[in-house]
Amino acid sequence: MDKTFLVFGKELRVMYRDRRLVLGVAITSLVVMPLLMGLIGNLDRLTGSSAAPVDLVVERGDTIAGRLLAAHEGIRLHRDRTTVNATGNGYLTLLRDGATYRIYTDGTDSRLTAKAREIRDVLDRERRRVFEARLAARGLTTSALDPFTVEIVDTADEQARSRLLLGVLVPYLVIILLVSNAIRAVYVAVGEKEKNTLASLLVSTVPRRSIVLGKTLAIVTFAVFASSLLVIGLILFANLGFTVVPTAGDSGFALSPGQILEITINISGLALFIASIIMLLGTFARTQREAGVYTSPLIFVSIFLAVFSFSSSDFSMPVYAVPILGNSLAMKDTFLGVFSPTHLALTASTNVVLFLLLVEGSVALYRRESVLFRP
Amino acid sequence: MIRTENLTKVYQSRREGRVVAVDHLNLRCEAGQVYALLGANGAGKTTTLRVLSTLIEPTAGDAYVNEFSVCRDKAEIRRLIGVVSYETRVYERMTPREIAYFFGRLNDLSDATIKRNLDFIFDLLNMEEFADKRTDRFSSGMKQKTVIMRALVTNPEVLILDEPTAGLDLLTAKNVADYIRLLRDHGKTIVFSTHVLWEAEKLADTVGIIHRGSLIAEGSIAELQAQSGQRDLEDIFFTHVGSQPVQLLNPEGSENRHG
Repeated sequence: MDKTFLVFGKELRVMYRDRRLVLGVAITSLVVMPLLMGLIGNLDRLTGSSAAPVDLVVERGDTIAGRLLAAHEGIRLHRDRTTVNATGNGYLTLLRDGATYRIYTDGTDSRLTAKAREIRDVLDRERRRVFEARLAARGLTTSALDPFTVEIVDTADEQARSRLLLGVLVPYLVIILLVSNAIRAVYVAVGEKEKNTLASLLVSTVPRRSIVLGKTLAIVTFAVFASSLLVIGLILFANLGFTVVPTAGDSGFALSPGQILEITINISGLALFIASIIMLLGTFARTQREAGVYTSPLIFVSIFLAVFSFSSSDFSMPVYAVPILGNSLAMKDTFLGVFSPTHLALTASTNVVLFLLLVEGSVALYRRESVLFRP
Repeated sequence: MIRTENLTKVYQSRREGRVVAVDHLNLRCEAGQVYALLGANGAGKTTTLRVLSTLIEPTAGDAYVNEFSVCRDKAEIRRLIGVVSYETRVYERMTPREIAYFFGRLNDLSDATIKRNLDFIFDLLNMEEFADKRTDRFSSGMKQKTVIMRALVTNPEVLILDEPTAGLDLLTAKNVADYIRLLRDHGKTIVFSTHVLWEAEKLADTVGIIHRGSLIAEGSIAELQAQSGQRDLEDIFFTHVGSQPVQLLNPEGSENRHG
């Protein structure tokens, strides 16, 4: 074990002295990614698009719509199409055809579509008010003609909505971050071959397993560290007043110590599994370029599996044994407060078993002379 | 003592097919002796040394270092040997001192022992001046010294040196040669390959001439002179190998991969 840590320490030392790698990680994690996510989170504020009023063309003779919508927030009323055309932006048109109102919108413009729904609701409320008034004038109540109405009432509080949002976003982000940062550390596995330093390690008394474990742990450390740095970068940006992740920030939602432990177990298992894959692929490759070819599909597979956190379906127990997918679902369960020890145990133990198998695979490759001299 | 018994190594190359790099090689280097392996590119020198270093497995036959078999007793052999190869590089983001401590500790040496060994090696190889500088800005000579230092820091009983002076300036090459002699005087067993005939002439107790994977001559300089009727080692070499140009011996230039 001592020799494993000697190899691990050497790899960390070599990595933190790689100025390009350290600068790349620091700039990406602390500046570029928070800026990009900040841009996405603040797109509306930066472009002013949500604040800008939507142009609505209403027929001159339509007094009802004119009265109801003239003072409605976020709508600029026009009676003539020519005036609205001059703005160059998209606009809504409200036309009355007998008893039917039609709102013409552009379905590709989400701003117009959202405003069209608002206008429909305003007109619908007015329709109901007139309907009730006419019935009342005849001594009737609405229940005579309309026995019941159906409404969906969202009982979820702000905290529950935050949980769902985090449960969907966090697993996805964590998985993508860990995989992409572990791939950046593939140098640990393949660099010694490319730089012709591996032979001296192989003729020393260090066991092959210690070499593989030391290097794999270095990949784990780098991936977790680089991913944590991004989280720190996001927190720093959030403290500067940017919305970096669209969560309900003031909901009062906080993780309990138990949930933190669940997430730690989950991420540790995931990091071990991913690092051992990178180590195996890096051990097989002869150059960093070749390793890049082998590892790049991993990011697509991870995105595909991680995206299941967005699904609202209930998954059966065996699904939790699928690495990455199981991690994604177990992490979502933690955020939603529906944690199942069996599910997490299944996911974590699958991660550990696969980690051990993949490490053994790398050790087997290290025991072959082709690790150095592939004909 | 180092010896090989019908040592054979065959590669299956995708490009070249079946390549016999070493063919029933039998060499013997007594304890405390220096053995020089002479041969053209692709003759099988590097492959033989890689087998002795436990980096590759023989296809047939066996090789022994202090009676430990390279097939069965790799861990024991790795405790005994120090390896220097012209191909091997050093960690670019570490200093020679850090490299020495890393390999010393990997070989179970105490820090005090490593320091004692290092003081001697740094002085001998004139390395004190750059011992604490990172190797990425070193000249090729400084890097080669670091490679040699790394092999010697464990104070190995047996040294396997594959062209140890390749890339060194004359002064450093002479220092390394002097050091090999000094190590021999301290009872170390040394096998080295070289293209530099004067190194073999000055340092070796026994010279082995290897050609196309087979040992075609072996003995002390005096014995080789008597066998060939030539005085000069260069003439002895060509008498045994024949007058073929070196390129013809290895048209694919496969020394780097197989030789």
